[in-house]
Amino acid sequence: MASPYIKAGLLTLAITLLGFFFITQLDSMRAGELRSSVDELMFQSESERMLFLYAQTMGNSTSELCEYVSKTTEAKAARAYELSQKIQYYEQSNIINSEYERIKSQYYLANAGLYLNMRATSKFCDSSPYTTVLFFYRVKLDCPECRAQGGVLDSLRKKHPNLRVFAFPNDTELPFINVFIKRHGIEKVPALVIDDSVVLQGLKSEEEIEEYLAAEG
Amino acid sequence: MTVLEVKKAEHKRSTIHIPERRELAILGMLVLAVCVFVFLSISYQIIFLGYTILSIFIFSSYLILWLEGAKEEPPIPEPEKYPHVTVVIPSFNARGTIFNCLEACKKMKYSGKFDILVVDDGSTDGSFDLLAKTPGVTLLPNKLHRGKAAALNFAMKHAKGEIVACIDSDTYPAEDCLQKVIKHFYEDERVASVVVFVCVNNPRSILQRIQEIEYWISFGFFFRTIASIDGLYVTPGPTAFYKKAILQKLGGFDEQNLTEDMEIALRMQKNGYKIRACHETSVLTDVPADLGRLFRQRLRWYRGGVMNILKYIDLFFNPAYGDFGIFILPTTLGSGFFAALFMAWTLMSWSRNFFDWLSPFTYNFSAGVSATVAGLGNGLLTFQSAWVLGLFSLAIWAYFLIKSFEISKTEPKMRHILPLVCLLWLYPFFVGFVFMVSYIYELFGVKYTW
Repeated sequence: MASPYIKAGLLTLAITLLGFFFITQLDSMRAGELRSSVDELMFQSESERMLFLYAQTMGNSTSELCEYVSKTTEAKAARAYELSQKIQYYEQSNIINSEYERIKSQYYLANAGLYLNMRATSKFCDSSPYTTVLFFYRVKLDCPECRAQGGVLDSLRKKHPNLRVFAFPNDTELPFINVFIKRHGIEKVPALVIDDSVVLQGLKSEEEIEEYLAAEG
Repeated sequence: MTVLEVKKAEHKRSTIHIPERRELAILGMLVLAVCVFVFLSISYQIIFLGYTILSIFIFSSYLILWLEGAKEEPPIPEPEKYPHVTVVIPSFNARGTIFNCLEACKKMKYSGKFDILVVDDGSTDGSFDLLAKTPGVTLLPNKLHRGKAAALNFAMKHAKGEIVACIDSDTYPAEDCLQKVIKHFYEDERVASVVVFVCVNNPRSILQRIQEIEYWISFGFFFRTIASIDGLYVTPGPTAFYKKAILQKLGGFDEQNLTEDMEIALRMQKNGYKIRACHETSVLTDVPADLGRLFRQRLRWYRGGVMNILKYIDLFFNPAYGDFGIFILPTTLGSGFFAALFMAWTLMSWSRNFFDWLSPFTYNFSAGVSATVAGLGNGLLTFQSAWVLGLFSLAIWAYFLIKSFEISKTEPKMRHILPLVCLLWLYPFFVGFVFMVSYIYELFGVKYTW
């Protein structure tokens, strides 16, 4: 008769395998959900860009375009920021994270596209109700101030519905993010860029940010 | 009336362990350093996963051992003659409980002869005078308060019985206790001690109700399973029976040890003696009602555990001691080490999350509240994949729980739900925390005060 410990070992193996079967399902379910959200965001960013291109190429009036873009952007840009938090949560909860680097890169790309579209809207359209905030944080090394700044921004977004936050890590090798960083001369995180003009570096409180928002708005 | 001159004896910690085993302590430190390094370089999820798989293995082993042996207790034949038993009760300022204990002891029914010997360990609460007037009890005064182990050793010299039943002054044996236990000594001539099923007396506070279930599981399911492979590593203080001749041959209880009940059991195992468990009867014992007392009790247990691990480290993973050395010691006493490490890591991870969670509050309280409320709704977001395996290990534990209720002959009722939930979700943090503190105390040699 086999030793009870060998039997226990086999039982443990069986339970672990069964457990990993469920874990794989759960992990891929979460990754799948993110993938489709990012795809949707990508499509949105692409279709807006197409419209700008159309307007430029065909020389149409920008007023129709402005109306359309501001409507769609309203919903998408808010969702895009929430998606970044979701990606972070899902990544922490998952064990199998092989797809996440790709999902994240695509997300940043779509997010950058949305940001540029929004800046373009405020440039070409007479009045844009939105204030854009670029938020740079760090991912490779722990950054408690960045997390705190994220919390502050969450609260500000609730108070100011026209605030659109676009968050990017400053330590990935994605070229388009590096262009943003260079343009604004970001040296330390957390950093905020309000409406492409005001650059705030280091952790800022709600009141400090609100002062600049009032000046901009 | 005897006037007692009571002085408090100085308690010295046993000093033999760490200095004599310096190379071992250094090895332990190295292992710890490697663990910390590993812990810091991998995510908490992986730690959780590793810890859970290890617990599933340990639980599975107990499950198999239960199913293959402990489940059915073979009937024990009655002995040819019932030996003389001396019930020894060490008493120190036990005025509140000892008279109930004596009453329960006197009510015991036994086919042989038994007498009751109370050792007063320098009480100052007037219990000595009251005990002196109690009929049917031999009172042995110990002028100095020297601790339980010393009191028991003192009693051994005066005990007439072939078997001694050491019963704490806050413990109340069932009527059939002696009758049911004694026969286990005659299963094998190497049986040196028999332990009984220790249950919680009259649990009132929620903490006591948690301990009630904890005792059923530990002294019920686990003790029965461990005893089935002769692996008991402690003869619980509240009540344990000893063959006096063997106890004396081994030199009695270690008076410098924090947990003399564990030390004697390990010494018996080391010398090839057997410890049996009897679940046909039970004893009830008072347990701490508040967290402070419980903390002090457990700190003593776990520090004693650390002390005895060092003292008997040569038994760990030693094939010469069979299941006891290879499996029982590492998974019971040794696993405390992992519990402490796991706890330390969990606390670190939690404190980080706690400050993250707190940070919005420091800027804007209402925003913090709404973010927290929103966070609670994210069930799937926060359900970590590693918890899947945790649920499996919980399922095996639930089986142990059901069996423990059966052993205690208690029907699971609604009133058990709250203590059970606490036992599962809060108690491990408490136990892990005390483990952690006791390791830290032992590491820095913090002096123990009785």
